Amino acid sequence: MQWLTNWMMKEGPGVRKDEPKKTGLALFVSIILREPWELFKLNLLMLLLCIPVITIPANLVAAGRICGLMIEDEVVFFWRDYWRAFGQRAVASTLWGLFFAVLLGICGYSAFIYGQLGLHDMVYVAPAVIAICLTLLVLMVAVCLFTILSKQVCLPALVLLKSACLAALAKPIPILAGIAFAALLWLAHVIFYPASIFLPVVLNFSLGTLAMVFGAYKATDFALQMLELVGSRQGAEESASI
Amino acid sequence: MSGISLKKLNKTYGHLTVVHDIDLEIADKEFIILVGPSGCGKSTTLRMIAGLEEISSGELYIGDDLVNDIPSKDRDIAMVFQNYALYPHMTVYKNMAFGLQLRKAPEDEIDAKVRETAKILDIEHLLNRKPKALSGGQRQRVALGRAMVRNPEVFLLDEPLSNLDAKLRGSMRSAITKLHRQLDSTFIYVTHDQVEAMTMADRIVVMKDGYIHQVDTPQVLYDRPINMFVAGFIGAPQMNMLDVTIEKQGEAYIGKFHDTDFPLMLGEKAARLDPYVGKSVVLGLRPESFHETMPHDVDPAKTCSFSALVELAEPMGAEIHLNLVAHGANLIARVSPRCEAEDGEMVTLYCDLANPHLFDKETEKSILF
Repeated sequence: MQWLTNWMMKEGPGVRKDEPKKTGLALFVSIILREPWELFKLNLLMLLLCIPVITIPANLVAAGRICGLMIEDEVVFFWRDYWRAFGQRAVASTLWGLFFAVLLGICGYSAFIYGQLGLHDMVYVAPAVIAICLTLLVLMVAVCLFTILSKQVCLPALVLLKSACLAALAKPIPILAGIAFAALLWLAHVIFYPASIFLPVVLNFSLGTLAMVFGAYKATDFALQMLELVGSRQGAEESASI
Repeated sequence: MSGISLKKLNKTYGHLTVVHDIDLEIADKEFIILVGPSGCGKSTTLRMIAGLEEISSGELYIGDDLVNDIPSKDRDIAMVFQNYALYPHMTVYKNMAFGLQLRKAPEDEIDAKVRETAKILDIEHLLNRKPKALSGGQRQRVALGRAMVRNPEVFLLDEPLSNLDAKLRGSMRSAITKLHRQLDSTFIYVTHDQVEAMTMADRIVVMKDGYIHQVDTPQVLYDRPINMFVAGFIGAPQMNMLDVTIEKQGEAYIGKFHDTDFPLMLGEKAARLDPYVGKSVVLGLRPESFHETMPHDVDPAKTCSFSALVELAEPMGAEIHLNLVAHGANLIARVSPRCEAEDGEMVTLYCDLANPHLFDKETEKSILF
């Protein structure tokens, strides 16, 4: 067992205080390398809490909270932080989840219908493309909104939606990349089935959530900052007029 | 109050006694260092104080409480181990918070204490890292931090710097000393490195073979060692020991070493040499007692010239260590960097005998102190 002790006690390279903070893909990879066990635990919990279906939105927000802490390089107390976020955002996230589920259903269905019609008549290609774009936009807004919810920022519903829209429009590429990464994970599961049978059990849920939150994180920060800026400007104008 | 009293403390394993009747009073807020060669019982003594080893006999008091049978967790002490003993699967934050969580401290309090301690130790940037990523020095600070967050009355440190490289050890030495001043707690520190002991301690306990040989401040141990072991152990390079024969010339005493007469001007203590006239004793000379020129600030009557062969000259930058051989005796002299002595050359050095150390050859005890 000496080798095990040696392996565990082996001195590391050290962490420089002035080490430049990783950004972009490097940060994403470093999070995965740093927190594999936490991500695995998160995946199992997400998997379990997706089974009752109604808990999916709160589950996503709580998982988003954990992922947000990982992105911020903050200490994660997995069990405590997860359930705290779950409890705090259960109602709001469920309502928003239902709202986006309906909206995505409508957009997706219209895209499907126009797509089918477009196969027979070119006139319907343009509405099909518009429907696909709308579906994607709604998906992006949903990801941003859930990310903002996971940041434990208390905003009125309309302001929340406005900031999510602003975030989605301000930095669409990373958000789309996050969604694409999550979609690819599920695609890989489908394509390589049954070899990939354990993929959802091990990482699909948590890694997918991490990718989406990671993609939307800066965009939502930007939107919230803009919101604060507008709010403070309005406040200043009001106090000046008084 | 967190003074500690060890009264006739013993530790035996079967028939083997590793700590013999130790009596020691450690004052509140004192920084005391147990020093001695490997196997001298210093770590066992520390572990008995910590409650990690059962006390075979004797009494241990922390403050006014007899704690022989009190479990380790209830003694209000924190220990830092040589290998740091950090939990490898926990981040630095969780490692530091773990003890407080076990005590069911409020979450906010834990967070505040961990972050405050991390700030003191300059490890804020490490809080979300696992020990695997940390260097030895960083791990060492985390181990200290884990002890500090509990705000214990007594800190026990078991060779905490022995796994670090020389440079880091130097900087951590001063960091721990500053920490002691800042925290105002009692520190009991075990080391086999006498440099650590000399630079950090308020008092040093010199141990050998399970016995305490001397307890005193670093300077007193250096200036007035009570036996040959303490004299040899404290000081680097160590004290030179020469077998000399005591002779009395009129009222003056000299230590005769072959053709060299070492004048022993001992003042009031001279009478202590009477029983040794005509006998062989050990003369202890610190390496800095040798000078390449006649020292100006020393009474000429208390010096003598001394010839020896330079076996090896070791330039240290600020000084040169001359490894000398004189009539079969090996000596080390610490001389100024201007000394031009070379290997294989005969040199004449001046020996300052203002503070000689004389030891009884049989008992190895100091004749003068």
